[in-house]
Amino acid sequence: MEFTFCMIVALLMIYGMAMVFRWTGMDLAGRRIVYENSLFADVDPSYGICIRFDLLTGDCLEWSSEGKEEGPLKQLESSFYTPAKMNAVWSEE
Amino acid sequence: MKIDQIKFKEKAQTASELAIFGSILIFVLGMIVNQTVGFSYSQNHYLRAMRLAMKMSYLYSEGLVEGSGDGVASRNNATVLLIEDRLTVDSGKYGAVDRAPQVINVSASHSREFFKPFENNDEEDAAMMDIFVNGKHFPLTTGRFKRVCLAETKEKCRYNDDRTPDGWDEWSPNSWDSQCADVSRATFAYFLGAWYCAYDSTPYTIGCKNLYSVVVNHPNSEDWCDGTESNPCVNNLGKDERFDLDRDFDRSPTGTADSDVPEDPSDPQVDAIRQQFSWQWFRVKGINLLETSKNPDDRCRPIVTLGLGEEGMIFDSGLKIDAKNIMVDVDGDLKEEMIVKNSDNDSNAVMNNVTVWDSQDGDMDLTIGDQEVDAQGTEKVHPGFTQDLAMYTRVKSPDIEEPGSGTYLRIEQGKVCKASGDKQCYRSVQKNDHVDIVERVLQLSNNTNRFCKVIIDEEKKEVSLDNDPLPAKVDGLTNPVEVCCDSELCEPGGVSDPGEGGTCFDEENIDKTCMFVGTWYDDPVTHEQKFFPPTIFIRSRIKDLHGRMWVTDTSEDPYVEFK
Repeated sequence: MEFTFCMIVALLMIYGMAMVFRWTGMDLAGRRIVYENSLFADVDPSYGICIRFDLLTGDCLEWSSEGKEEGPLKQLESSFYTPAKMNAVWSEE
Repeated sequence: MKIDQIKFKEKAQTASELAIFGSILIFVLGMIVNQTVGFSYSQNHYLRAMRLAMKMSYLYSEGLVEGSGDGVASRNNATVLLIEDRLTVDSGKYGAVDRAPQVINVSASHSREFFKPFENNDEEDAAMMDIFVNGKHFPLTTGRFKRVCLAETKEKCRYNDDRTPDGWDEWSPNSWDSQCADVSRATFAYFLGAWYCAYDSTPYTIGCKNLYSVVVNHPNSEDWCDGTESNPCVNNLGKDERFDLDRDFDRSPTGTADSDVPEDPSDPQVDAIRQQFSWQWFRVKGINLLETSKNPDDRCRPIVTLGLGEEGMIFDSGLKIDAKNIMVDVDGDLKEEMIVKNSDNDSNAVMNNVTVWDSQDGDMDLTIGDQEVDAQGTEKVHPGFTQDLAMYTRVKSPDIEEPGSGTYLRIEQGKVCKASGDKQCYRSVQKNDHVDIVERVLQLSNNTNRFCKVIIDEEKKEVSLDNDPLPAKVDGLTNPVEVCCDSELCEPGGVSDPGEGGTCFDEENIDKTCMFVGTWYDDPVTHEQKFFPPTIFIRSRIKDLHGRMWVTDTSEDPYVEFK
């Protein structure tokens, strides 16, 4: 009886240990993976292009302002990752 | 009887081993979580800082920031110092309450403006340094343009507002060489149907400024000498003058060199010091050889002949001809400045004034070395964050008549607080120490009038706030400084006690980022009035959302009052 109880407790401890290891590794690795994937992601080829040119001088009269946000600024977004939740037993608020 | 006792002990052993194992396991898991969260904080901080540096370089190079036009070179190599005060990993009674600073310095480059030339008055293209402290952005300059007069006397300066090194009287007595060069003037002459340059048969001597540049102390340097028989220093500066690091020969009326790098041929160890020293001084004459007849674009200009071993400089405003000797010390601070404009030279090509880029004249002088002193021997003020760090917490007033009022108390750890003088102590033993303000002190090198506008009177040795001293924006960004204070008052914000003046530590200003614009002080070594540069007290108001996991309203619970 006592042995059974102790084994159940031991299994719960092992489960908790596995969840902790899983969470620590996932958070560190996940942040790195998301960082590199977002940094090297393809950008919109039309970002920052010139919509209207001055034919005489060659200067740009109107830039595509919407496109600039789809260029490197999207790759360099600071809030690129949300920390992984532990999800050990119940979800965090 | 004995058999029963043995069985009882076996059952107890299993439970006790499980208890010990379990507690050790939980302890180890806690340590793992603690360490890993710290690693996560550091990794997150590092990656965010890298992205921030790359973003800064991209935004300014592409011209996406107000005031950056179609792209500027100020962040070609963006340097970002990111400081954030994060909660530590703790599992105390109220959760994590302590904060630890996360500090990292990174740099990144966007190559769009790499080849943009740096010309006169291109302030927007000058290299900048960015500091982020808990979300507050401080763009700092690393230098400034200034115009320096190179005439013989102040009266001969072309412009009255030309800078001179700390007052005209302190200009080095040996800086003007009245026997600088021989000149043969040229005039156009028409002879046999053609125009010719007719030169004076007898040249005459002119004077010019002595400037100094740094050359490598190595035999491969063409301007090097060491005073030995094979390389005697007979031209330009002598061997002792070249190693007179503070240029006493230039400052003393007798022109005597005080060699700061010793030489002793009889002692190999001492002698090796000078041989292995990295640099030496080299004299450059204040004559722009581009305007003499020895340049390719000859237009009947005067022939200027310098002494043996002497060199002038070549500066072309159009940047078409390779420059020479344009990195010289023009203001006597023993450091080189870069010449970016030369104008108003006389007819003999003698330079009257130059515009230079001075790396020591920006918000942050990054050229100051450890234990560096100025020409008078006083240790220079090092820019950057000082070791002072303070945390303040706001305590609400128990006065019912004034709800919401309170005061800020400084949190100190370590020894038990002892009240003394005006210092009062307050110890909290029941509530969570709620940190509201983190204060850091950022020491600047100069007041560039970007964060606070001041008026500095060098004759009266006074510094005061200008009218409307707080600009709304700095380089297109919201001014991070919220209050400007001199030694008498602060603007804006008013004064808590009008009779005594305002400071950065008044009740109205204690929670605001405040800049003290500097003051004159009496130097204890030289007994001269010197200017102490401005200081920014960065106050980070951090909203502490942690400290509790569950909040239970116990206000209506019955309680027992023990007597």
